[in-house]
Amino acid sequence: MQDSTTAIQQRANPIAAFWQKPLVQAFFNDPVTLLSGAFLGVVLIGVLFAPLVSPHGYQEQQLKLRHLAPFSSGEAIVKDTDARNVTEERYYLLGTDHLGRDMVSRLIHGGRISITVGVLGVLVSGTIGIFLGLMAGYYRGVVDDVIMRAVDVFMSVPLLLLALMVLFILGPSFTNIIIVFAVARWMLFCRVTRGVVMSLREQTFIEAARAIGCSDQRVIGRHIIPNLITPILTLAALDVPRNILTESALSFLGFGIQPPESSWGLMLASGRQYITSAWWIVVLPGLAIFLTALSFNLVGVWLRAVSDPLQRWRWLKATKEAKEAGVTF
Amino acid sequence: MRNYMIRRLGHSVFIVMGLMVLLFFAVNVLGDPVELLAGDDATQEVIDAMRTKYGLDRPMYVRLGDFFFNFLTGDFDRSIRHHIEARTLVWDRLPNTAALAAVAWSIGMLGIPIGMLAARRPRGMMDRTVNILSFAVISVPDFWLALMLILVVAVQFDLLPTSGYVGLGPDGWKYIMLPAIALSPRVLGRNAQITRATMIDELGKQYVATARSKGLAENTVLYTHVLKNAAISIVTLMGDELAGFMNGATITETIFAWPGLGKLLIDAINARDLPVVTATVFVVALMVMLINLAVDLVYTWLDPRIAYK
Repeated sequence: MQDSTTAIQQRANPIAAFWQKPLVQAFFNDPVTLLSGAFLGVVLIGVLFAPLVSPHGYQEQQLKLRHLAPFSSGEAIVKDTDARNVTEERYYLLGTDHLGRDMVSRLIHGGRISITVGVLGVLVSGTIGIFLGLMAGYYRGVVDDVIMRAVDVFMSVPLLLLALMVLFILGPSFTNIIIVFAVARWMLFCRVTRGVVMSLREQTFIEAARAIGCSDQRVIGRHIIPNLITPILTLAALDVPRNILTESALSFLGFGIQPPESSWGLMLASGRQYITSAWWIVVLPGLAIFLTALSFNLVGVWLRAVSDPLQRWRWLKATKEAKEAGVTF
Repeated sequence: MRNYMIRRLGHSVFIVMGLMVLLFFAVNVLGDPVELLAGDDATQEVIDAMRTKYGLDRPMYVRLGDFFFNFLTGDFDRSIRHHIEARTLVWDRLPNTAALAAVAWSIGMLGIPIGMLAARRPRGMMDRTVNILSFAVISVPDFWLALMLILVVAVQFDLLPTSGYVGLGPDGWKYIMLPAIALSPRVLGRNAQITRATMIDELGKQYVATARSKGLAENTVLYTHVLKNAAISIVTLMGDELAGFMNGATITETIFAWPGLGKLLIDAINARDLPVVTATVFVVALMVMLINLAVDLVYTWLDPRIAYK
């Protein structure tokens, strides 16, 4: 009776039902995960609405206001409606860089590129890897052999070396960085997908689906892919920070994003020579990379823990204990 | 066991062959080697002359055969920039990178006792702290850490030199410390993570309950029983990490002006020195392959069941 009442209540109020899900509660009960999630939320909002939330133009140079320390203000020269130069008092929360550009706006716009590269890289390499993994795990035989040997060969070259080689040949650009990730990261997704598919293949529900005459496409689409979502999502969450770090390293070395575009790695590289006089130009983008990568990693590892039945109980039990202790949120 | 060794060696040989095909494909099909060598502003005559000079006007399959033969004999052609054999350049730099990796790897080993400490009380205070810290250290961009180290340790406190190289002799340690510290966090973090995870996993198994119930001291259980079984995963990761050092080395060597393979590669790319680029990538991949082979052999020694699978 109790159960049916809750069920009816849940149907009536989908938002309340969402809040009562154990996973959602576990998320909100774990301060570290909650904090990382919140940080990522803020970063994502900044990145999505970059032009709206940046206080100033990210490429606008105020050469008189170079190397302005954080939390200071200065007289910027701007054009008024009649195109005359007038001065304007401006507050620079995080200071300015070596060309007098606002650090806040540059961090927001640089993050736009860094995070887009990270996410897009995972999407492209993930799609290729999942497709090949499905082929290898489902059809086995020669297809499997060929794909897995290719995986072995690609795995034998360190990531950054492969990336530098590809960028050396194709030249540095945004698109080519995505190509680099496609070339250098597909193997991970391929291996995980293949592993899951191979263990599913032997199970009776797949056999049953085939016995009643389902086509291969239907078996894969309806029965295998839904089971892949959690492991792939976890892997993706852990691979985004890796891509962000790699992109920043490539841009730092001069083989990634090219000016006037900006990414966190490039900001760091261009501020490198001012490190002793204007530390914030180097410290801030580095912090941005670090905190974003850390948040992605922590959320990813939480995702992995709660999706693993062996580990899950620990987190859910913690939730229950918290509830009994009267912790509200 | 012998069959396993033969199969494993065959696998390695296959990987080397595959790697050569991959490199050949990358250089000759994705790009045009002459354009890579000549740069963007070369005239058509220069390009044609170079094409003949390097034998690039021959059909693709002849070049592939040539490529295979040269690589197998270790002949990567001469460096465009230094006018000596690319092979010599790579061999000269290899010990420097190896030394850097060895020091960084030793620092990374500290992760193992840290991970064990965390595993003693899963989800306890220590465990949570180690868990978060281990993710923090693998999320630090290595070039940023390198710059911060220079800023704080070398410039602010003047404890170690900012960069440079004076050989690998007794005076060399001062110069190797900062790059090695900058290179070590990822290994440190991952060692701690994997040790913690496998230890917790092993502690849940029945043999641990047996060992405890017969009255063994907790330390004996941990160090003689659990650690031995956890060693397999740790060893795999260590091999992996040695290979992964090449990623970080490229960056740290550039920042600290450490004359290793990573710096060689970056300089060669900037100078469009194709023979050196391919030679470096090939030699590094070869090293990675050898390390993996060694790890697999250590494996079968740690767990003889693997050879029979």
